[in-house]
Amino acid sequence: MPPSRSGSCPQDIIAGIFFLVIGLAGMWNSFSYPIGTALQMGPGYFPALVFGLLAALGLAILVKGLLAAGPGIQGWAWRPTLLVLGGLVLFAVLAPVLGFVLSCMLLTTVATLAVPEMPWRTRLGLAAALTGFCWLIFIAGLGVLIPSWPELLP
Amino acid sequence: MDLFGNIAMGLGVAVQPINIGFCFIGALLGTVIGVLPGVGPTATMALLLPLTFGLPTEASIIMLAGIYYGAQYGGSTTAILLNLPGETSSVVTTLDGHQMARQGRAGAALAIAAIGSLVGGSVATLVLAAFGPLLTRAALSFSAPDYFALILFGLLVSIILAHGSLLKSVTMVVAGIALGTIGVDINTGQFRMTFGTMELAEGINFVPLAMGLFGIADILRNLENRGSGMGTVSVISSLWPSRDDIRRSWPAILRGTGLGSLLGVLPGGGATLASFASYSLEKKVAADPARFGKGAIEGVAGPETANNAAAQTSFVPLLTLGLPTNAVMALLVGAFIIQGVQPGPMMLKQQPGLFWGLIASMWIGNLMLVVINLPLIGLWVKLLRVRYEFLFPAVLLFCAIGAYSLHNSGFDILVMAVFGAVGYLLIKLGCEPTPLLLGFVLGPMLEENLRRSLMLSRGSLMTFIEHPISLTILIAFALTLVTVVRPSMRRKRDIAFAEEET
Repeated sequence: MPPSRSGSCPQDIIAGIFFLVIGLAGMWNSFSYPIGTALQMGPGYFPALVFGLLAALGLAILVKGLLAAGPGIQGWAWRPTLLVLGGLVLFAVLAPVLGFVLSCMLLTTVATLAVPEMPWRTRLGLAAALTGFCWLIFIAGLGVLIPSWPELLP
Repeated sequence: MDLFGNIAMGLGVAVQPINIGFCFIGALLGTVIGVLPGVGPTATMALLLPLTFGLPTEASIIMLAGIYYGAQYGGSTTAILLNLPGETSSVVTTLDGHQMARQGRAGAALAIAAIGSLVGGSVATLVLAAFGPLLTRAALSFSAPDYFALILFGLLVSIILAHGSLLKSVTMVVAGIALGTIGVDINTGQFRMTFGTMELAEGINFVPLAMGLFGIADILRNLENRGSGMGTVSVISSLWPSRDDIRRSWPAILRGTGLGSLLGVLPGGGATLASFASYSLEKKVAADPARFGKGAIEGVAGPETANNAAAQTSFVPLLTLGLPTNAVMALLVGAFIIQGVQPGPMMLKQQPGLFWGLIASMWIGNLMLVVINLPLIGLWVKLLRVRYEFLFPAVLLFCAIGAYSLHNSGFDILVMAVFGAVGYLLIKLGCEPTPLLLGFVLGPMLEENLRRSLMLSRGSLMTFIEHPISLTILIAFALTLVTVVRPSMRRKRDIAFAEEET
């Protein structure tokens, strides 16, 4: 990856900010619990220590990123990210309502939209085949407790 | 009981039809999934973990161990045939293994890898059986400060062995420990960082975390690289190594066995370190080092043997101290706990059948690998050709159903999706997620032992220096740290990792 021309490293700057923010937020949250002493540590003692250390490390990465040239962030695959994660969220929410078969079909169909050139016949065929396969393994074989079909009666 | 009595008892457990059956299924499934391009052993284990939930304890652990060997061997297969290492421990196999494949000697490379793995695995299993009980006795005398020092040391080694910048690896370990603090505080019962949700009361579940960081994040990365091609599958001529191959291989296999058994025991060491060390050893003792990198069979035999031997002996710290030393062992801890077994020194006493049964099934598992793999290599080659757009929806479905079945709720799927996104971001930021996973598993143990130590010592940090075992480990820690940050050593580490990326 080519270094950026400004003598900084965007990858490290973003990583540094990411960990710094999480560290500070976690540390702030830890102080809402009793801290205690080293002899008798409260629930907040260790988290405050660890998140504080995380913030310090984030700061170090940030400073390093500002001083030395390095790679940037390249080629984030937005479409697959949104479709794959969106499919998972749909599955999580809808599986108890729609049942196993329909939610598996839905997840496979949504996720394969990440491959736009796949013909719809292949897409649906794949969804049906994988759903059947998983039904055999997880529902028939392992007895996972998801209803196969939506409950029609309220 | 003597060693052989114990092994006999273990064999009695392992050859029960149900256990041997699940060992076989595990090794087979592990190979099938492990051979798929882009799915390494950690992801394979995370993916198949839910399959074992409903089984009896012994069968489920034995099946997982089978999955582990299968996945590891599957990783070597892709390394040799496609130049695609499934995980870091098979990286060095690509150097000479893939060269052999390009010369049409893939069959010999695969066969030697399988035979080496069998030899290394069997001997290392004996080592485990012999030293496990001794170490367990020693482990029972470990006090809280000793454990604290040992965990710190393990985390340090995992940092050194991670790819990329040391600073980022340290950050990943700390981030993992930080994630581990979420949930009920064991000493006071206080809810920490749960954002008011009941689902997080017991902390983030390990399984969706691992599936997100490894399974889902890998899917996203592979979808981004789609079109760049997964490499070409070479033609396999004869499966059998020539007499010359065998003559060259057997000393390498013996050396790899010794080296791997030794290095696997180290906390944080394990298969990766062993395979790298074995490759450099083979290169050093070879009469003609120039052959390496051009298809030298010793370069396959040594590291493949060593990584399997180390994979076996890395069960030692897990079974005797309860400390996982790499991501796969961390997954096994998760599986043990789901089955209601606490891995550690008490396990040998409380569950001798499980302990010795697991050890004996390692033997059987290794043997099965050879039986499964050699005749089926043609089939694996076909599997390598499955197009990724058909593959990833299957992996995704398995992850989703597996996460859902943990608590019969969608919450764990959401956790998995979040960590899928985080894992992808971390890849983009040049951070390797393995140290995070280890920090996450070891973090709560670290906190518990730190708090217990300081409570016993009335808040004095001197306790870590006053205990001889913890003092020894801390000195080793300091020496390792000094060695690693020395500029000459840093350069060496950079070179080692640069080599594997080309």
